Amino acid sequence: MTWDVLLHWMTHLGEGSWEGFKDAVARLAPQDEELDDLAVGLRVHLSDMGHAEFFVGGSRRWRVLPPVLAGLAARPGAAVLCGGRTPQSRSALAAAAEAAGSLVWSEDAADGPTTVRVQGEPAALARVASAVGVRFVSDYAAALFRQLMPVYELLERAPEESAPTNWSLRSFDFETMSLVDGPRPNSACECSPRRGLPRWYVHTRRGKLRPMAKREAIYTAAMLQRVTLLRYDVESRRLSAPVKVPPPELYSRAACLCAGRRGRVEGGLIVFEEVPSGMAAVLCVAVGQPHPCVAHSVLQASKTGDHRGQPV
Amino acid sequence: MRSFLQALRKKLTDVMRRLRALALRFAGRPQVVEEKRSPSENALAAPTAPAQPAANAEIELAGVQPTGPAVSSATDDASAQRYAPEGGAAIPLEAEKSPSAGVQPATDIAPGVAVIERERAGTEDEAPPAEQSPPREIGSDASAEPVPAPGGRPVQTQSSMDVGLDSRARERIAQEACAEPAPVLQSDAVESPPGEVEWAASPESQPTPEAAERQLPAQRASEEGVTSPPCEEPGVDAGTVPSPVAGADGEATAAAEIEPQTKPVAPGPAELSSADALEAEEAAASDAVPVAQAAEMPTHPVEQLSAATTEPPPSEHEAAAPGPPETPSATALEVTQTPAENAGPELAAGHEGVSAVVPAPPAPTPEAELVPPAAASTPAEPEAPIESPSAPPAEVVELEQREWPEARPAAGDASARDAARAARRRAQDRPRPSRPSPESYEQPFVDPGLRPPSDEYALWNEAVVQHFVLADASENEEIYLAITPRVLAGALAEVGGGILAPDDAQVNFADAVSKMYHTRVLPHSRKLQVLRRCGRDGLPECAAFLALSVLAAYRMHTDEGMAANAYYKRLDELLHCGLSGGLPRGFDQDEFEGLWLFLRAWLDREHGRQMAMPGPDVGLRRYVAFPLTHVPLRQVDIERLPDFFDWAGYEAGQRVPLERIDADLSKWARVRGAFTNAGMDALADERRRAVLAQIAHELECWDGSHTDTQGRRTAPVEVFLHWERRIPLLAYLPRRPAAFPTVFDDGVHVFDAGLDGWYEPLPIGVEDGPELVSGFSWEAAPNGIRIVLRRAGASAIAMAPSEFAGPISHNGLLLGALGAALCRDALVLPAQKYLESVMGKRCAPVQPPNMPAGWALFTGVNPVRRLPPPDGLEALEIVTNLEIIPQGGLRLGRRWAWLAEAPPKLLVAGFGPGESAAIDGERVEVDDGGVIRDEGRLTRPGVHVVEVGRVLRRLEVVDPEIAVADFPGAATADVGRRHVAALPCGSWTVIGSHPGDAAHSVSRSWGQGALAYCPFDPVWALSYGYGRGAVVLCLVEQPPPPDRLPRIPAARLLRSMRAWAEPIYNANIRRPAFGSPWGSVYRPDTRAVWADYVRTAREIKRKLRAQRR
Repeated sequence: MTWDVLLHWMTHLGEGSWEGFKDAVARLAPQDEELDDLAVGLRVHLSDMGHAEFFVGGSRRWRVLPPVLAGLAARPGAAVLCGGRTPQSRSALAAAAEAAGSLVWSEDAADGPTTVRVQGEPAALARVASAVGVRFVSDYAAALFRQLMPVYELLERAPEESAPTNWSLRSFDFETMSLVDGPRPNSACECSPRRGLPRWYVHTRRGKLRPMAKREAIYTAAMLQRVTLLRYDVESRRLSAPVKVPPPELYSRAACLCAGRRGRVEGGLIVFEEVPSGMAAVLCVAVGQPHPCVAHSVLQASKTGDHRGQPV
Repeated sequence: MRSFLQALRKKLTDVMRRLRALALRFAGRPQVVEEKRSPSENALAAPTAPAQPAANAEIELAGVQPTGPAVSSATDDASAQRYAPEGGAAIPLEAEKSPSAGVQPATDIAPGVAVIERERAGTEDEAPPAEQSPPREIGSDASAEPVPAPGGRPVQTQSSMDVGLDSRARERIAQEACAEPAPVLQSDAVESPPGEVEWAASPESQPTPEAAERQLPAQRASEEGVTSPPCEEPGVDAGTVPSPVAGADGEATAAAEIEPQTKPVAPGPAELSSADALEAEEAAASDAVPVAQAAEMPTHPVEQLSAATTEPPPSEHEAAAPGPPETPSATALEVTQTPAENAGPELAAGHEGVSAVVPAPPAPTPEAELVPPAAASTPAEPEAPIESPSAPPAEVVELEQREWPEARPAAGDASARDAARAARRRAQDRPRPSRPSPESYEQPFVDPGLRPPSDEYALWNEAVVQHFVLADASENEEIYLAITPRVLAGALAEVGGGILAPDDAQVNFADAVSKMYHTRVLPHSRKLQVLRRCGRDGLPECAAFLALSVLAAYRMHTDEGMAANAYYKRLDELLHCGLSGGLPRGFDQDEFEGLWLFLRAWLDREHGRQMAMPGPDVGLRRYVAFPLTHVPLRQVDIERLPDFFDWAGYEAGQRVPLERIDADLSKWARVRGAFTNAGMDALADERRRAVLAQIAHELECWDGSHTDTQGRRTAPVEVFLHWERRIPLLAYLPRRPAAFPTVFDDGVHVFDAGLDGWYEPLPIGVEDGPELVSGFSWEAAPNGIRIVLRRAGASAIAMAPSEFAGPISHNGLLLGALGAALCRDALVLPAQKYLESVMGKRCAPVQPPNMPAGWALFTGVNPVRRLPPPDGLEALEIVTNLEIIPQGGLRLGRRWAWLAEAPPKLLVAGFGPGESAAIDGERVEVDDGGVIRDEGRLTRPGVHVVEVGRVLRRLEVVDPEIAVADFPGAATADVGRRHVAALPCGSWTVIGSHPGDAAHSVSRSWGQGALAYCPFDPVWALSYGYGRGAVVLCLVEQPPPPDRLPRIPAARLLRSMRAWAEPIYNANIRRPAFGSPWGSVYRPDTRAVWADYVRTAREIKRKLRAQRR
């Protein structure tokens, strides 16, 4: 319930600064809590569940997403309430769902606001959303996928810059999954001033850096180094990523909203459940990872005619 | 020989006179044309009144009669005192005492001397109201007579005539004036009331002592205008209230003030008193752009005529304040010293007054004030009935202007003068409608069809009302609308309108009010009356408009285009509606006053508060006095306040009692002397309270920044203490004024905007000890603007509880509030001893990790008594301010508003044993920690008033609302991207089931795959090259068969199908490998479906081939 209040506060404001968010978390948090970790955890939860997005446009600001009744790709007839909400909108949703013959229930979460789920026929869900005054998107994850900007496009668009003078520079090492001093080719770099906030870059050429957000920079570096971070199991429909390098926010949100559940940490990996294979493929390709289902080598062999007429 | 010499001398004199007139005219100076005077005229003339160039005329006047002071002495008085007894052959004083209105006493100029003054074009504003003060001629018996227009319409004043004529015409007039006595219209052939000569000579006609006393301010101002050097800060003292404006303004106002003021209860077309006219005159007279002004005016009387015919009947004011189209008719030109020349250089520079016509005032009668302006105006002919001023004047004016030279009667037409005098007496005997009572303006305007103002205006209106009108203050304090750009920005932020830089807030505010004025006030027949009502939010709709009028007063200072006291010009600058007769178009001064009365009544009725209003000694600027009352300090002084705040150690947004501001201001003024003379004057007189209120408003909205001597914008860096896992951590917390960038980057320090008005905290490390001792200054220059974040060096830092999670640096330890203290290691012992003394218990320093080297931290400092701090620890002085500090809860922006689910805890600092606290009027307890026990009151949504001692704060608790409904453009973002498919590296053609659905995708060099965006459901992805081999990927688990072709497809359809058919055909002939993105799932029926696609593709190709043949 505590973090519902946080979401209500964010919904009322619409947008704010990261510092303001941390301050609000500090006001609501129990004593002796590690505030930074708590704020980061809440940020991930709110972002993954489609309530808000953080660091909008490279800034250190957040904004609440518009309220949406998000249909789940993995579970037809099921939806979760995403975006901003208030106690009034929640009660209105419950009343409308009851009137439409749909089922509404809440799932408490320790590390974030309650998840409000609605179950019913798609037409009924649309009626519920209309009664509450929110949008209903039958396949919200697919809608998010359509908005993805592939990292290779981000890399192309990012301007080349020289490294800031007198700033310390560390590179992300995929073997140790940590930052190491000094620049490395085709790596994600963190440049830090003596006092203040670091900036993230992708080091593409000697001395030339392209500014990007942290997660995007790491996955871009993985693309350049041909390091596979995302893995998808077709049978279990589970998409996983190392816990130290979670996918960029929008990708993570899209993966979560396939089933309306947050990624689960399991053996050093973040595991997103019930991700359809097509969506997993889009996610992997967009984030610079290889296609999870079709091996490139097989395709090459097919093109040379070695597998003519045969299934790939 | 003698006769020859005399003749030669005469000719030379004549030539010289003409040359001088021409030279003066071409030099842009008033030109002087002397006329021969008859002996009788000489006898009537003032003892010494030689014809002088205009620049000297007033000076000579001063020797002949009391000019400004004496003239204005009769200004405010009752009509019995205003006018000399008729039997005494005195003319109404208003005629003489209003040089700015074009009135020139006969004593100014010798009778028979017509003086033509080329004035700046804008000075037709200064012509007297034609209806009230018909022009009269000087220099002959008839010269003192009004020049009525046939049909009772006022004739065009010379000022407008002068403007309307081209230079050649003016020259002709001047020559005619030289050649013969000033021509007089036939209708002017009325007996002149005893002219200025008689007035000057007659002791009865002199102002009474009482009247003179009443006019002392005007007199003083006038004297200053004549004798004093230009004011260093003319913008400040020119419009201060209640002192009248200096010099000519006072004189001019005096003339206008005695005009009868008639106003219907629900005024229709504006009928303005001469006081109004005078204010308009001042506005116009101070306009220092004569050429531009002239360019706006019709250049020919016919143009004026057309203007008069097409426009509604001019209001009284419009007639009075001299826009050429509104003031038809002219009679004679005369020399007059313009008031601007007396008012100081800033006025005189651009103020070539066109006071070409001496308007005849109403006959001197005690009831003159009650006579309506229409009746007061002299009828055109003695026999003619007195007509309403609303009578169409066009034809009359045209006739007059065309026949002007010939129509003038002989100068000594006694019968006409008698008739005119009689007619005037009749007119003045007629009862004048009384001015509506103030109570009538307190009633709201009712128009069911009137639409509410725009949201933008409503927001600003709410901001003004909430910040000023409903401001937290004790009930016995008067409320000032102390509008400045900084206060506007603060007021907007308080109502959640966003954070704007002060200049942006000013522009935004002016735009909102201007739009409202154009869309709501101007189109409505009742003009300003539409604002005299309360909106749906229960707030008076006029508040923002009146605030704008105050902002216009705030902006009054001498600049390139305007004099300091040009109020209405400033108002027009903000309203962007253009001037009409010296006033903003559609602006009615009485209604303007009515809005102030309405707001005052609403405030008194609804909230029991008093609005500051001009005092009874407002003097000459009756209407302008309303906004001027609320800005005793002008822009030039307001801009110096941050220096004062910095000097006094105030904090941004702090609420300081007026008494403390008063004491500090006195010290600062003595030490720095930083206010202008006008500002110091305001401090020294009865406006001091208003000054303090204005400064308090400024301080409350001050963001902590100011511009230093190098032109850099500076903001302070605070020290912030917070705890993480019970470990105290120190951080710098730089303030971020609105104009500062989102990201501060000086190459070494990089931080982003944090909470509203702040940057993100920057942890203080061990190495920062010396920096805290010596102070620092971080300078950045984003976009060429130099900004500085700085902190002064210190040996001790007091920290007081704040709205943040921990205490923040403060100008002292707050009595009764839990704070902290930092001090250098060398001062630990005396600090510990001192803190233990003021706390009454033990207090030991702590040394957490990351503590800046050389510093010690005392936490949990809660002073309970006040003692003088030891040397070096002055910063730890105990401050006894009573403050309400909100802690916790979820605050909604910068407003004092919290979420209902997370209300704040209110901490009271400086709470004494004899004081009490109340919420919404109900007494509440304050516990030992200084926390108010609200008993759940603050969880209830609504506005709560918290009162602790003399401190009163308004706190709002709100239920959350959804701030964002949808992102703009969200619906269009997916256009063309209905589906996205992921493909391996390579070049791919994506095919849908409908012939014609085809899209291409190529993987980039850096990627490990390709994304295909297509507006159709993709079924197949085909990849092939020039060589052998191809890949066909089935993108769906169960591919649909291709859509059937139309029997006879159109040619254009076939062409679009080619892009679909050829890839299928080309892939198929290469014996492709089949696959699926879903792994190795492959079904035999997929091949069958693919075969259908191939057949369809072949069919299309056949048809294309056939069509080609």
